[in-house]
Amino acid sequence: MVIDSRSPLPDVALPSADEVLSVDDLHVSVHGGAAMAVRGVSLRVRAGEIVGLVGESGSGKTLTCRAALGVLPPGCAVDRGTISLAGLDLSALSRREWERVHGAGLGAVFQDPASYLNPSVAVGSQLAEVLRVKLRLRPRASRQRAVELFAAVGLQQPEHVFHQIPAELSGGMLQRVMIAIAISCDPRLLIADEATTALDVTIQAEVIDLLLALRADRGLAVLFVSHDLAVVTQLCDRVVVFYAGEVVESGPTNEIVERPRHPYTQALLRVASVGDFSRRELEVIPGQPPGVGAEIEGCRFAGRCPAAISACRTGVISPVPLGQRHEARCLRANDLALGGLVAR
Amino acid sequence: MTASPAASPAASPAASQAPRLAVESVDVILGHGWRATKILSGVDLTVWPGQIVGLVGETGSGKTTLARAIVGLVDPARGRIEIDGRTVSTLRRGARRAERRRGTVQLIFQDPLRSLDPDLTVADIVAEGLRIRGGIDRDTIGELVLGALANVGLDASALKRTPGQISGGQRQRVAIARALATQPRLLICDEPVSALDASTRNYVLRLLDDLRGSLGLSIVVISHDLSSLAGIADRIAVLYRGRIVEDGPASQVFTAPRHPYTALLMACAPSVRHDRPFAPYQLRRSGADVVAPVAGEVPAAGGACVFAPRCPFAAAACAAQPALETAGRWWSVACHRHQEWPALARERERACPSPAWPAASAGEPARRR
Repeated sequence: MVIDSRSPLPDVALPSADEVLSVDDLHVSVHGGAAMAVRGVSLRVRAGEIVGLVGESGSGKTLTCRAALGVLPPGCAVDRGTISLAGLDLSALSRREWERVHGAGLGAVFQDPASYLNPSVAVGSQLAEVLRVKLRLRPRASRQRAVELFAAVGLQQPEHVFHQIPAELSGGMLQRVMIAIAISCDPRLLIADEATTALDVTIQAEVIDLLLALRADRGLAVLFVSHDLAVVTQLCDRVVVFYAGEVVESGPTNEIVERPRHPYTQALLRVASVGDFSRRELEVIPGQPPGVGAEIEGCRFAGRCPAAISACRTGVISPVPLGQRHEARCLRANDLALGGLVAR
Repeated sequence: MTASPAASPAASPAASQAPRLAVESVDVILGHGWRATKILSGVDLTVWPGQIVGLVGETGSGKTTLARAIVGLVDPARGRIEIDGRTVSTLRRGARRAERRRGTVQLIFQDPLRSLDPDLTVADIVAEGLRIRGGIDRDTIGELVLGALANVGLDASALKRTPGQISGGQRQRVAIARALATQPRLLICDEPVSALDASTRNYVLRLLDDLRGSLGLSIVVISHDLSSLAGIADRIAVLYRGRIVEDGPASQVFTAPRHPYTALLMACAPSVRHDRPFAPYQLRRSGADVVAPVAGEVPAAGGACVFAPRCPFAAAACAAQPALETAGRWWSVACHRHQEWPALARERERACPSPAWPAASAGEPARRR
């Protein structure tokens, strides 16, 4: 269902561009500047594109998202680099300007929907409040619009759900409410940080279908963060693989799945749920990822990499372009014949 | 179309053995008076020595309650739970406590950071069960602790650390070592890997598989993630709203599920590949479905099939709860239409737009503005 369009951006005029989000050479420091957790991340999200960030815990994917949302945790700061939303530089925004960008420019959904909602207020009122404050709708119009939004995110009996409090709704329904709130001001980009991780697989599949439908109906761009490569490949057009604070590979999903060029991506594919349900040897990636902000000479994956050579341990490894918007941060990206899932 | 019974040896036990765990038509009711809710109804589950049974189901299906009933934290209202032929569900308080302290059955939880005491060192955490059991001198405890840690691939260097000082995968291994220290015969793991990264998850699952081999443990692994169970489980039992809807050898259940709910879980499991017997939309009820009216959202005992309100194949017969019937060797399913639904599912048309991959490059989607 397509929602009736009113001008959702009353006074912030975002410069239009094909690229909704562009992050360049982003460095985020943690522990008050003591360590660098995100080092030189660059990524692009185009209009109507769903981009997935994938990596182990502590790889910097969530910090990158939070930097883009302007909600870094205490002690963390953007050290270097630029983030721009459709041409609007987010790194130099004042608090007031951020308030306009939140909702109208960026929507966000997180892992645990219940903790982002007031437990004692009906979910419909919480959505209507956003519409009143952000879009200056009148109370009656805001309630009507809230019901429309609930219907648009696939909630059955939206008028009934409007009056329910979070405790009366299931986890999947709450996540739909959160998505309704996130898209209520028609943002350019939806950031979904582990948005399906806490849900049952059946509900997760429904939320993925919902995000795809929202993209199809409204041209919503989505930045989807997950530690589960299998979920990311099911939803996303492009995949960005994080390892220890760096982007090690990025490219179109089918390229990444069928022809991974970085040994870490290949390792992730081997340990991911391949879903053939036959009894198989469960593989592991040997070794441990380096600690957050560890200083390492050369490639950060070299210590766990089966293909590492001595050159991998010196200097700075820069991304190697490999064709249509595909690059891998690996010295041997061109001479390693890494098998993808299909080739195997 | 029964698949060939080429299951692993542990899936088809010798007739002479007694089951390690036998759960027989157990009902669990939580709450009193008008708040009383039937969490489990008529659950049967048998685990043979050296077998790994995967228990699957969604939130609220009763997986954790079943685990709690097995270890004696909840009393069943009806039915019997036997461990090695000994009925434990009717034990009185003192006997129950003695049974628990013996450590025959051990529980492992999802989040090791919450199930391990943050103030204790790894050595104390692993030794605690042995100290409570009593009658063991300190040197023996030390040896048993080191042995349990060695079983999970940790060495003495971890002994002096606290849970906050080790990684997530190591913490879950400490939780397993804690369970192993009392030399249990049955291990119940409640979502042991869902808080872990993919590589660590596979490591822990492989560890459980090895322990089954080396220590002859019986293991019940509770999970909502079917694909991670596929690697290790011999048998799969699927719970839905407190009832076992399918129970059979993993290799056969995963090849040709007989219950539409099992098939739905399989179809929804995230996967890098796209070769499934069914897609989710073929098994999910959509607005366009015209189905026989089924009474009540939550059917009472003896009422409609528990899955009927979500099942796109529900028919008039589904107004009565189907009993578990044999679908093959060691394989049972509770569905009136288990013969017919696979053909019906194949005919179902997609109601929603196709997923992004592999057709992702097919032009820009229409923008609204």
